[in-house]
Amino acid sequence: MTFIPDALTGSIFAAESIEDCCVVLNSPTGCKFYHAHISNQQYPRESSLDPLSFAEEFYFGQPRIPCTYLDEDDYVAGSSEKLLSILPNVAPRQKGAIVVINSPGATLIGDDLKYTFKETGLEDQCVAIESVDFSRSAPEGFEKTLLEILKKYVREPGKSSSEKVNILGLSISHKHWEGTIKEIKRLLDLMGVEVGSVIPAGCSMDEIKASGQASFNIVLCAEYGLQVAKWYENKFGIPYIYCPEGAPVGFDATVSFLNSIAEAMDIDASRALEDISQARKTAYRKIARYNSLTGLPKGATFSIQADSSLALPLTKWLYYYLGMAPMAVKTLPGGDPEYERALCEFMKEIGFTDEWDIFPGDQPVDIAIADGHTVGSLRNQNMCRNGIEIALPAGEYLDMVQKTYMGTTGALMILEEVLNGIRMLS
Amino acid sequence: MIQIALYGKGGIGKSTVSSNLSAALAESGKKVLQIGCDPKHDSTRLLTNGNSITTVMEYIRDTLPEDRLLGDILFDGYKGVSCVEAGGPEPGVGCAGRGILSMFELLDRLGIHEIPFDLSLYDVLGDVVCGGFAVPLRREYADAVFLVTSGEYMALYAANNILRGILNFDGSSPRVAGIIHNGRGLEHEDERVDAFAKAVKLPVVASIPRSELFAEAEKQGKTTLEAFPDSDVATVFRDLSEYISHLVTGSNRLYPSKPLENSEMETLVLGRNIPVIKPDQISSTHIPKGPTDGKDTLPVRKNLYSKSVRNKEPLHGCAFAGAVTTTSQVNGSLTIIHGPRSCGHIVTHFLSSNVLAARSRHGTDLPCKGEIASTDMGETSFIFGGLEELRNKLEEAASQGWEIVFLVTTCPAGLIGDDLETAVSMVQEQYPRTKIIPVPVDGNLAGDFAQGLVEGWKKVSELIDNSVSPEKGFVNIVAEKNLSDNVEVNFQTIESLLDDIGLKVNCRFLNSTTIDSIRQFKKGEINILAKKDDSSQLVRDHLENCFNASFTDMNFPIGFNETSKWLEELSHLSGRKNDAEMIIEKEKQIYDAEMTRLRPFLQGKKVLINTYSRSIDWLLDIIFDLGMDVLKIGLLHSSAEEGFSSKYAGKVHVEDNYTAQQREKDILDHRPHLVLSNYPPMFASDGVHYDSIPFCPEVGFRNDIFMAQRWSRLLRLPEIEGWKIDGEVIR
Repeated sequence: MTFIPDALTGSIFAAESIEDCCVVLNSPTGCKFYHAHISNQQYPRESSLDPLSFAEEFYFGQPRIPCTYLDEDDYVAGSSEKLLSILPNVAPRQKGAIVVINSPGATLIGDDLKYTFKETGLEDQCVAIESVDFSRSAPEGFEKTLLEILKKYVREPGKSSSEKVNILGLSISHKHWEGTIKEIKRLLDLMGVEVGSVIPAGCSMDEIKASGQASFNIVLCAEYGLQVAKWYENKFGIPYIYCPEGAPVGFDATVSFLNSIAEAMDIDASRALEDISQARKTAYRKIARYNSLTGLPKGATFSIQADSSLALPLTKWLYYYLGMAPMAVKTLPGGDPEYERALCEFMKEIGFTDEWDIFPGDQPVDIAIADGHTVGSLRNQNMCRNGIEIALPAGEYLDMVQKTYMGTTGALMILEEVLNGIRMLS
Repeated sequence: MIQIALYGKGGIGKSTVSSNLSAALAESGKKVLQIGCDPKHDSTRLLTNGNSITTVMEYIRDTLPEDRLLGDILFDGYKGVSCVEAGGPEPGVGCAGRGILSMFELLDRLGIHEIPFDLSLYDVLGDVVCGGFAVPLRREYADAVFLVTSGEYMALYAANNILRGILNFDGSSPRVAGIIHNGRGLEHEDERVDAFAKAVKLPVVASIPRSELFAEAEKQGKTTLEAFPDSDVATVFRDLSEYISHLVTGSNRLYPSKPLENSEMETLVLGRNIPVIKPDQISSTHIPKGPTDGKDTLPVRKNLYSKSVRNKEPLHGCAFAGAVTTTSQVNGSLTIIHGPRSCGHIVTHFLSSNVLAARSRHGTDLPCKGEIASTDMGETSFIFGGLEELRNKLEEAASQGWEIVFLVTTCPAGLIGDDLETAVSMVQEQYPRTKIIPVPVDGNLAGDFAQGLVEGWKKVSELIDNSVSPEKGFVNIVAEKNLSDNVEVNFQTIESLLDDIGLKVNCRFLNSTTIDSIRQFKKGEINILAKKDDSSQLVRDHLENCFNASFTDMNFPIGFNETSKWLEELSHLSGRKNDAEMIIEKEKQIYDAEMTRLRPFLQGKKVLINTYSRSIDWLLDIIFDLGMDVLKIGLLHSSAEEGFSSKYAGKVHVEDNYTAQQREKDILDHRPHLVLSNYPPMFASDGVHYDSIPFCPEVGFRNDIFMAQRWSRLLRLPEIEGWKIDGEVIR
């Protein structure tokens, strides 16, 4: 079983999500290797993985996340000397910010990160994350670090504010994040809404700096964006849109998401809603034929372990739209309290109280929806017919075509995986 | 607002000075915040009528992060002085320095900087000069630092140490406000303080006389200023308050930190030079010496150190992860990680990845392994120590009936010095049927990943029953590469070969091994190392020394030549030489036929090898059998192996510390047909093919044939695949 990531991983991916930003870990290499590997997998920015290309000190053969390789001597004498060496080494390769994050051990040394920024003349380029509430949830670490970056770099909007919106609450740690951006932009475009930037997944530092000009912030996954949205509102008066049904996963939540935006921005959502309508017709034809032969998918079973913003809409949609039975529903730590409450209530309402908040591996199901490791492990143990990877850590499958679980395209994708999955022999 | 830190040795009277100074500043109309940064949390007591206030550490321990409010830890004292006390853990546990760091983070998060104080005063313990207690010295907190000292040597020594701390932060920029002399009434005290002040080029900004009024006021729970407003002492503090006001306006200046060397301190304060005694001058007479050479004869406990640790190289990975990789191989055991969840996440991620890869790439299910749990150390454990959580976790495990529990520690657990033995013995007493085995590697404090493997193996070997006798026909497999996805495939191959010559595997030390199998380890007559890398050699040494284990010279064989030799050697021991010869003969025919078929494609082709692996004779065997030429072997720096031993030594050119630049140059200069690397480079060059050398090749007869077949196809394929051209575009 793979343990769920905590605030350290969340913090690292907040910064690594930004195109021209880089994390420097003040840590032993043990904290670096894994995170550098995942960052490079999720958001490859170099053309090669050849360790000889990154053989310099601090990089240890990996293109991402250089570290101070702390050892016993540093724990006793402090790590300032290494920080004073690593920062000038990394800075010339980096257009954007350098976010220095202390590992659990490094927080106990108490080195003054800001002093090293000053000494190296890199105060403007560096952000210090001295402690990230270890063992607390990944979303908490994520938002804490992202807020530190935003506080330092977002510029006052000036007189001319933009009509564009920001998308918040998406990180490179989200499965299919690139496909999700494409799909959300496509749907918003149908409503005449232009996306200025997606913060932080794949955005640039320039976009971060200009993000205070947006007319609205749209929160996709509340765990990763609601606090940030509130910060923009307090600081720059930018209103935010938070959909009570969760992220736009499945037709129903996508409709709700688009309607929330249309209502808040006072715009017409009909073209985007028509897009969903067409997709529903396509889905109907396929499901109808499938259903008439097998009676399925009604009665098929599923389990979910995911962030609350995904688990809520997905559980409801699979239940209402496909008539599937939720046999185990569990949200990951750091969930949005509103979504968690709504999901708990929903499970109670539909008579599945005992299936709420239990691990999806306790009994066999048709479809398991979870991180790649959990899905892989359940498959290996014949505890599911098919699995849908909806979170990190990822499985081994390489996606070449951009995919998403959100929006219209995402709903069809989920249907495809569910319907084909149910047919598989366990 | 100006922020002032008062540093001084414990017991010197900082808190009395701080609270009287705060009182004087408040009397003069200033809005003052006093923050006590001493674990004994009595800095502000005289400002709050002698009452203790809730400390920030207590608050952090008892209140959920989202429920925390500034109003719960900020209290009004005399004349409206706002008071905060850091507090700290119980003596002997946790990390008080981390507590100070957490307090500053919390105050910042709760918005203390939004309150318009005129002056913040930090009262800080100066004996402890770790990073946590130095936080108030940081520029973002202290604009000015006062040193509080008496004329005693240790107080002056602490003051000098604080100056050294400031120098580390500031260099030569001025931030020291001066010395506050809190008199003890000692003989020549004033002279000593003055001499010190002169030597470090600082003014003595206040001399507080020894007075019974302090004790009187303290009895009343008040500052002297409040209790005896007309006293001389009160005047000293008012003057000091005035001095600070002039600091704010700039009419009093700040000074750079110019600490003394220790020897200078001793000369100055003690009036004598104290030479440092070198080891060869006078050593303790209690150490027994050898009669002839005079050297120490005390037994030194030998340890087995990994390559990186013994050479003091940068550590690759951490001992914690290595140790968990080992202990988690024991079926029926539980490994408890004492550390933050991130450590558990990282280690379980690569262990699970391996299980999934074994299934998807090789179709093998890795057999059941031990389970892993975590104490999930967080901020509170960092400050107060994590023993309570640890004890709870151990009790939970023991009550669930686990027979063996390994307890592996991470960096934070090691750094805060959690006393594992006490926790373990308490639980062990309550649950005698559970054996708890601590593996105190403390993250990477013990060393790198390889060192962790060794520490794990050593600890697991404590389960071996020394009374068991070897039995003929049984072998142990030692130090399999557990993180390689072909570990099970390789084992199955070896097990099958052994079976062919009448040998049975007794214990896999350690891969998916039962507790009973470990206990019966000594039933194995012969031990076979899976690989001869550095950490494997160390476990071999350990098992030889502690359990008289007998090893074969050969590790898992790769390719026809090695496997033939390996079978011959082992069949000698099992007495089944004929069986081995028959297998070898059969495989030889297959090998020879394939070599004959493939040679025309590969003969005379030039190969450049660059590799982290130091044992590549299996690769050289096939290259030379095919009639290919080796241009050079470039050895890359490896954290796992050193040296290079080969039966082809002298026949091939070997270059150590090979680099990417050298490789590129060699390719351009020599135009090899084939470049073999553990990681093939991405650049394209005409006439050159690239292929990878597996870190953990598949063992047995056929892998070399597989490689040769692959190269023969490879050389007939395009030299530069189309996708690589796009890589050039990206670059």
